[in-house]
Amino acid sequence: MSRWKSFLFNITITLNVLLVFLLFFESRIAIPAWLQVAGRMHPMILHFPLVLVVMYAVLNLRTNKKEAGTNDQLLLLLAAFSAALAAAMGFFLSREEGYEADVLAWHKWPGLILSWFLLIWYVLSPRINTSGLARWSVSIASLALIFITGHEGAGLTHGSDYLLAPIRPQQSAPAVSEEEAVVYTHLVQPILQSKCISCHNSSKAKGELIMETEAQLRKGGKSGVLWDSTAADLGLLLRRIHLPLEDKKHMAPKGKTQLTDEEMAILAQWIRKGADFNLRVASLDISDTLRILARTRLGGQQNEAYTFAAADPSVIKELNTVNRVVTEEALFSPALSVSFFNSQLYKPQQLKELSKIKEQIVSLDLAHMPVTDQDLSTISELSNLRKLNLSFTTITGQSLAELKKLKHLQNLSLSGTQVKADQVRVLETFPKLQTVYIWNTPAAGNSLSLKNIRIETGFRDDTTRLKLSLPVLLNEETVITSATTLQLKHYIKGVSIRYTLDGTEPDSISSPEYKGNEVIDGNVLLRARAYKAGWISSDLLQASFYKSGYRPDTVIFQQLPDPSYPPNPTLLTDLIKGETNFKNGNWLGWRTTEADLLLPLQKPSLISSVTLSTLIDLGSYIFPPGVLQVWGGDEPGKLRLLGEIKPEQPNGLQPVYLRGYTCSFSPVTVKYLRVKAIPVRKLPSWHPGKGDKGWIFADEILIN
Amino acid sequence: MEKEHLESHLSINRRRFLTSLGMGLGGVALGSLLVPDMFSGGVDEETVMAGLPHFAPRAKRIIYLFQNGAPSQLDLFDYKPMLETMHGQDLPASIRMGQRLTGMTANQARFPLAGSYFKFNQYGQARAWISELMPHTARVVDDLCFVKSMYTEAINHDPALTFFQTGAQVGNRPSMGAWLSYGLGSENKNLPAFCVLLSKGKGNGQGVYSKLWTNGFLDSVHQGVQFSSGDNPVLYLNNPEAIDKADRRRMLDKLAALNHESYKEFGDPEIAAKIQQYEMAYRMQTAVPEVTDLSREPEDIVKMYGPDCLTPGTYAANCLLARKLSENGVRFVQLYHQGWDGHDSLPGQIKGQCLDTDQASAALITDLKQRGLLDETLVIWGGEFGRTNYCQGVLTRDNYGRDHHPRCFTIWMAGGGIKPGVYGETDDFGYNIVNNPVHVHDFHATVLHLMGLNHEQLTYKHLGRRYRLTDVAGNVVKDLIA
Repeated sequence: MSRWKSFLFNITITLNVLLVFLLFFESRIAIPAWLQVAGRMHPMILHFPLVLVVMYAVLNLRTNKKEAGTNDQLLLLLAAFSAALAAAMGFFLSREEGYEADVLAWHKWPGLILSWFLLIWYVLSPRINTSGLARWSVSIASLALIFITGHEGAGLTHGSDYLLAPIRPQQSAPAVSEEEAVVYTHLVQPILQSKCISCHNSSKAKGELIMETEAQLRKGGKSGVLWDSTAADLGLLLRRIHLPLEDKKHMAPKGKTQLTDEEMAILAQWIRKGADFNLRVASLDISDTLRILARTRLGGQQNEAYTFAAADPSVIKELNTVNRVVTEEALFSPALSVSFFNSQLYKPQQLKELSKIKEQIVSLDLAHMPVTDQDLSTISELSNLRKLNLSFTTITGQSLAELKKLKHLQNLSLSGTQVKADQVRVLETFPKLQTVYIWNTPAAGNSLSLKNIRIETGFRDDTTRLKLSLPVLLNEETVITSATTLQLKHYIKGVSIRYTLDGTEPDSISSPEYKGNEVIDGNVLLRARAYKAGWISSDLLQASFYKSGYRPDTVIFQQLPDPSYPPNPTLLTDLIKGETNFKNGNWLGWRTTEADLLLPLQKPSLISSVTLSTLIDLGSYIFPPGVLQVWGGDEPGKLRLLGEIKPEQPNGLQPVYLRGYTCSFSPVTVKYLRVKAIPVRKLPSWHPGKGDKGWIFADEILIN
Repeated sequence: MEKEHLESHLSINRRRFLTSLGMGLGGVALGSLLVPDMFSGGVDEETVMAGLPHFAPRAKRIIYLFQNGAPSQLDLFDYKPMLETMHGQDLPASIRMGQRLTGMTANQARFPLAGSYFKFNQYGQARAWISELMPHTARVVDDLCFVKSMYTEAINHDPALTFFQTGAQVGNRPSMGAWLSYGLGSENKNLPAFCVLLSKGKGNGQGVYSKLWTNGFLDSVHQGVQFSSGDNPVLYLNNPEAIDKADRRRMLDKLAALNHESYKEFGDPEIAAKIQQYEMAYRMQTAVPEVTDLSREPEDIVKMYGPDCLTPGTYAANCLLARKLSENGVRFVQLYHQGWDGHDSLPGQIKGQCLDTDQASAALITDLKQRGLLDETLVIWGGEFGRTNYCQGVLTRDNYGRDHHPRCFTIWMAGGGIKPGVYGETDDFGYNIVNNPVHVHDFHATVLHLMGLNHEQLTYKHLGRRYRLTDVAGNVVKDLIA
């Protein structure tokens, strides 16, 4: 083997191993500038393998092996070398931005495989006895690989439909960014051009309609003007388009290329918006149908390629403080975003310091910082700023015109500031401005509109009346032993709370307003409502307070409660109210037995009432007691009936509630009390469990 | 002679073998020149990548309104008139296709289809179907992207929830918020990058556990910080009585010095993390009260979020707080609202749930929008799976229950580079996906993509292998991106 041949072979090996390596470390590779130059030579070098591989493959098809001499091998080596070289360069090129990964894969993999395949074949073919079939297969495979690689590569450079484009119906793809696109020029006009103008031009003019210029379109044809943006069907043009295909007047005529759904939607949206010939895509709401259609049409939103140089990393690090955050937009991007937090730490000087990176800042967030009108001139130095958030700053709007220096400004938030409508008007002259936010400013109420700029005025509501939430009872203890301050609160500012303690319905006129110094002492039923102008009054807050004057020594169960609720004697006298969940351990329940409790008092006391605090959960068969009796006397065996009540029974399902039943009688001095509560024997007929036995649940006995 | 013959047969000898080998190594060496930090050892890819998006992000922050317990897509967004016409008839076996069921309905003799009790209407430019339960959501429909074809692998709450939050059904992986904190860091150095807010509706609820906002094997600074509803939103943040700010500072300085000593001795990264966390907590002492103070919100805002939005611990208050946190640079605010698990009495329960959540969810969208923040904030609304089209328990015209259904459900997303509209489609029975399925891994990949992260490159090496939020799966759903 001649020397230069083996040299070439070795280089080919090196390149192929390099390719394997590059594949493995693809995500971590950084390409230096000089190598980028090599990468960009890929489009030139690739022609060598194209020719050499085809030549080799064709020569290799000769069946007679003897004919295939060293020249074939040489050709193969050259092909393998050029393929590896082109692949490596292609790899470097692919690391530059702008290649769609999916499409790239179809070019990259066949290319790589071809390169390895040729090298392996070069090494193997002289050493093995190759049949004609094998050589044919190799040729076909090489040809297939080079064809796929070449075709997909061309697709990458020229667009995936480049090859067949001339024989396909023409699709116009305007090369314009979404930001600059004009709806008529870049969306509507191309549709007319491809679907209408072949019959409606100055030399043909069917139906006396020419669709070439704005004036001609406005004029319309024999049948009248083309559109009426107020009509339900938007006028003649769309009416004709939507006619059934068989209809003689249907456009485009049967047999010609029809409009696609997307094209019809674009025309309809444009006309609905008033058929404005100067309407800019960027001035539409980001979620507007037309804007979305435009985006698809214009080839999606491309990331902006910045031309300025990156800032020094040490400067960025230095500018990052506890309340000022400077971050790169992304890895390898020169663009910076700056945000300020924590208004107490903000100093105007911190804004001035940004001049070190004034070229690189594309987004600045100063929301809620005490930024003043003077600071705007500092901000206007940030020449590449795209997005500026000044919401809830202290600017008054006087110096907004300063910001006009920001040639790239697209997005400006002034929400929550004091800017006025006439000050906002100056923004109309800003070259690239797309969206302005003026919610919660004096300017918001003026139904302001600026040419080509979307204005977001946000939520404003003086008319809807909402229902206030319940007042909040802050007293945690509802069983009181002494006079207690009533603590009510409402989270919404300016609410007045009206209440009653006598069980009557509170209203906004006669009921007392809660002031904060009300004291409760005794068994009361608190009912309260919140009121505020412009709001619907709240639902009723209800809470019972129980006064406990005497505490018995213990409770003796004459009949045991239901076994699920162990007879804990302290439960009924611990002054801890159970909640609405009867299983939480604070409740005792009786069903088959009666609640029959003997209460020895510490010393003979004058008693006038006994309250049994109960839970009513009708869905769980828990009812008020059927009968509540209080007995008293000086000895357990000789008690007499002091009083008896029959609580009112509910007559329909109700949500769970707590209720105390008080049995009052003429004051009497006793040493023993006996409280007897008999469950409802037969549930009423409206209840799902009618005729069944009811439950009683009690958590406290209160003696006064 | 024989040697030569052999050599010629192999066409190789030692010299040539070594030459080729050398050339191969040369190729590797050339390549290695292109990889920065290839041989510098200590720097691993995590440190190289961490802290910055891989490409320009569409969203800077996320607010995830997790509807825990799985809301019924069939009663909210996925309108199926077929279920109404076939109300009470059995689910055809050709639709169910042997799908596994939970223990709660597997033994049911019949699977009667249940049409929704609620009326649906179409709204917005996308003509999206929304039920009468969500009137406020219907108003912001033009900003929302409904994904009707979500599906998951788990069939019970805990694994499904864990799967959604961490990308795995077993609970030892980092949560989404932790991954984002790891990948992008915190915007505001005074607040954690990942905050968690809990609320509870009156419907049948399912537990929420702190493992859902865990940092997993990532550094513990990435763990979610739970804000509670009481007087102290962040527990143990205030100084104890008689300790003032200066005392606290001195104490922290001394403690940090000790910790540094300890770090030098043991080199445990958790020690460094601890120092950072103390410092963060110190800064949070001033930042948190400012952020969590809802009392200065104007009345318009209160009306917008609804009357409950100032009552701590409600969903509405959490939505409002989420906006404030997000506005203050918190990367990932995770809400959980419990009570959507409608196995029985679903119509009654879901009505209450919607009353509690609808207005505030919609208000959050409007509020972000009017401040100019919606385009950089991604809002996600959804549960852990869907609910069945057949009834669990007794079916009547106005009452039914629905069991768990992982094969299809609806979530919505808004802002942050999401293309508004309706994506994906289910069959007429609302049981299987017929168009554009989106797996949980795909959802994760898409969300990371919107945040400027390549889900295949955001990795962390643990126990000898690299882990990702999407594990070894997931595709970015490009059609969802504006």
